Amino acid sequence: MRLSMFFTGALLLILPTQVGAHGGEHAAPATQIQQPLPLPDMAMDPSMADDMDNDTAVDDFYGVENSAAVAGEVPLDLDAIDMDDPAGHSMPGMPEVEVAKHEWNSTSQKGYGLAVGITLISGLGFLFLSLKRPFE
Amino acid sequence: MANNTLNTLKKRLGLEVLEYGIPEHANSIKYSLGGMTLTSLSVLVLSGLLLAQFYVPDPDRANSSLHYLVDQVYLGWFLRGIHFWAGEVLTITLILHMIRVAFTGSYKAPREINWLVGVALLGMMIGLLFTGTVIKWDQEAYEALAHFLWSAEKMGIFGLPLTEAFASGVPLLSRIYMWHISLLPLITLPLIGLHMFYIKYHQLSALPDNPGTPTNIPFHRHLGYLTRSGAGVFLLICVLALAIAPPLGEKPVFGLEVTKPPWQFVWIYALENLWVPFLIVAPLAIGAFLVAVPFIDRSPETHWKKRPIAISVLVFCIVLMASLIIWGKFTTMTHSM
Repeated sequence: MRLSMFFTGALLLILPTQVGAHGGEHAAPATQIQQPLPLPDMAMDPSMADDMDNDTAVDDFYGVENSAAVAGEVPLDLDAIDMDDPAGHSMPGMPEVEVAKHEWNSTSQKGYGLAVGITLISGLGFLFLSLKRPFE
Repeated sequence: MANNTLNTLKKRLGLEVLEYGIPEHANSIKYSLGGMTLTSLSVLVLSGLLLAQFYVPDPDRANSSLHYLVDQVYLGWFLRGIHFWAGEVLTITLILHMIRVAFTGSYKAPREINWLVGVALLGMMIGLLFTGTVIKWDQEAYEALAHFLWSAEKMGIFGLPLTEAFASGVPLLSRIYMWHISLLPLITLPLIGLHMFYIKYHQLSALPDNPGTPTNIPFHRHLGYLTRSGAGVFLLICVLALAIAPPLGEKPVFGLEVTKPPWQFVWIYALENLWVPFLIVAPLAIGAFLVAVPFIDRSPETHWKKRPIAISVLVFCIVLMASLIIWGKFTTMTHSM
């Protein structure tokens, strides 16, 4: 009981801190907004059938049109990372990649208020169950 | 009147079958960790069903569909956060559950088979976590897949179904998505049913300090406790999803290796740094060790003070994995052989 109340108290303390800490002062998320491309027709593209008969399709293991190859970056190749070669981790002349990390959510996210509401309701539900202990 | 209605409903719905007795210590955090794991899994399934409505399992569009979900869809960022953090909470409760079972010797006779089912479930969870990491299709995903494919190729005929060569012309990412939403859950669900069946069949293991006949409580009281702990788990997931956005990079640049795997896999990254074939050897060795545990430790003793070797091995494993995870977080890949 005491442990449950401790967790409840800790969570309820954390919640308003998080809500108050993000009063829209954070910069917009660094992620680039990209509309997904239109979906292809459900009917199979004849060119796909050609690709399936093509021996080189075996090497194209991520898909017929991989994003990086389309973007003119690095041609797709299973051996692109040489697992046995230390140089495989730092190939010269490669474009730099920003490693994705955890980020604080901004209050300007779509539906942030509703998300706060869902969290509060789940908190109240847990508080009710902890105090009343139905069926226990 | 209300009681009569309730009794009638119980009879009609067959709920009386839940009125059996279970040991009182079932209503404690350490003996409810499996139930908490199941709560997280339920959240994962429900949030995954919603996420699947927005995800495009195509190598060219997968990553952008996730960015669109997070940035443009109302509450999409929260939905993805719920899915991600449910996976993190599941990992924690699953590990704690395994440690508790090992610490209290609950894998011993007559519960060996249920331990094996649990090991299989652990494998399924690792598979789901891995495929979930890959289908977001950013740099981390690409690098994880590259390592996986290297291992699969080295395994020859056994690894063939896991490679693109198995179904040439079909994007591997689409197949991995199928594994994530269909194949692995289809195997997981019956295993969970079997796991629960054996808990019921063999009863919850007795407390090691009180191996006599335990005081029983009606099962519905345990359900009440599980509901409360499940609500706590869901609240924790919501708070985390509200506060912290899970990582999501841009489309991968092929040929580069600049990221590290999620913390659940970073220990193998550290081992790979020592000797590349550890990528294959370590998971197989750990799996074989876990399977062998109940057949090696066959004494009926369950109190930790009377099991010095077993507890030493457990502590060693925990310290080793924690050290490898910390080392993996700070080390730089050299691929020295």
